[in-house]
Amino acid sequence: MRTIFNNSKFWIGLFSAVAAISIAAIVLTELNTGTDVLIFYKDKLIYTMKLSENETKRIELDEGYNEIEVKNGEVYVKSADCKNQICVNSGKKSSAGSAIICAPHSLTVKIENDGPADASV
Amino acid sequence: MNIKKFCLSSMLLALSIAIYTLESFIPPIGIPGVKPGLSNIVTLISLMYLGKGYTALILFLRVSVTSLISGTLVSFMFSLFGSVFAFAVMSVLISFLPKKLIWAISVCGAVFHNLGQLTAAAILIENLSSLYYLPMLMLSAIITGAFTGITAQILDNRLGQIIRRKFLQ
Repeated sequence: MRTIFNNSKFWIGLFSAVAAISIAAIVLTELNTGTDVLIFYKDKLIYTMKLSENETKRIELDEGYNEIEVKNGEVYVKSADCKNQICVNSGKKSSAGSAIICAPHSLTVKIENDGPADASV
Repeated sequence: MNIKKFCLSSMLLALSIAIYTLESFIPPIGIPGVKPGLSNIVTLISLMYLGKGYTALILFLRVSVTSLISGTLVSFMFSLFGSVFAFAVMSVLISFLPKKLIWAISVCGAVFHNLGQLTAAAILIENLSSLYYLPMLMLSAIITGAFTGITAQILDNRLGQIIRRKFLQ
């Protein structure tokens, strides 16, 4: 056991494998375009939007506000009154499974792919 | 308490606060939690020369002081979770891995730092959507962890003898 862990090649191999899996996961996520925007406060769904329809929604919470905009098939947080502004700096998202998180407000903007519902439109 | 060790740990604490504060001026690149993590160099140096007790104290004080300077309760929680996770894994690994593998210990620390931050995020938002950021955070942890680890190894080669002679004898 000790000899394997003491070998640099073991660690290089391990980290390369983790890096390769991570890159594959990033690419696979990016390839899968989403259809619906789900906005959660903690684990409760509070609002939904369609990525296909432009819309701006201001979410007011006890903790503060987040202004969320869907434009040209992408969703982003336009403005928020949290201190760190991480949600605003997270940029535009469009792939299924991606998320924008505003931890100070316990708010999550999540994109999902609703295949069957999209086909019926 | 040894007065020389106390001096060295105070200097390392001041250094890590300065590095952490300077690093916070780097503009965000759009992926939450991705940053160089340069103060990990100090943590590694401290683990090598001062041991676990001093390092735990330096880390806790660094997290507390930097949160008071520029943070919020939320950022304190992120910082604390990241540091506790990273410290736990690095303090175990450093006792049975040789010095030439400091870089690997550093990568493991960075990986667990980011896992700790994801845990903090999951607790705050009460769901698991933060897992979306897992691959990006693992990738950045491997790159930044290797960088800080190699830097700590170079510092150990250049300064190790002086630090030992001045502070640890």
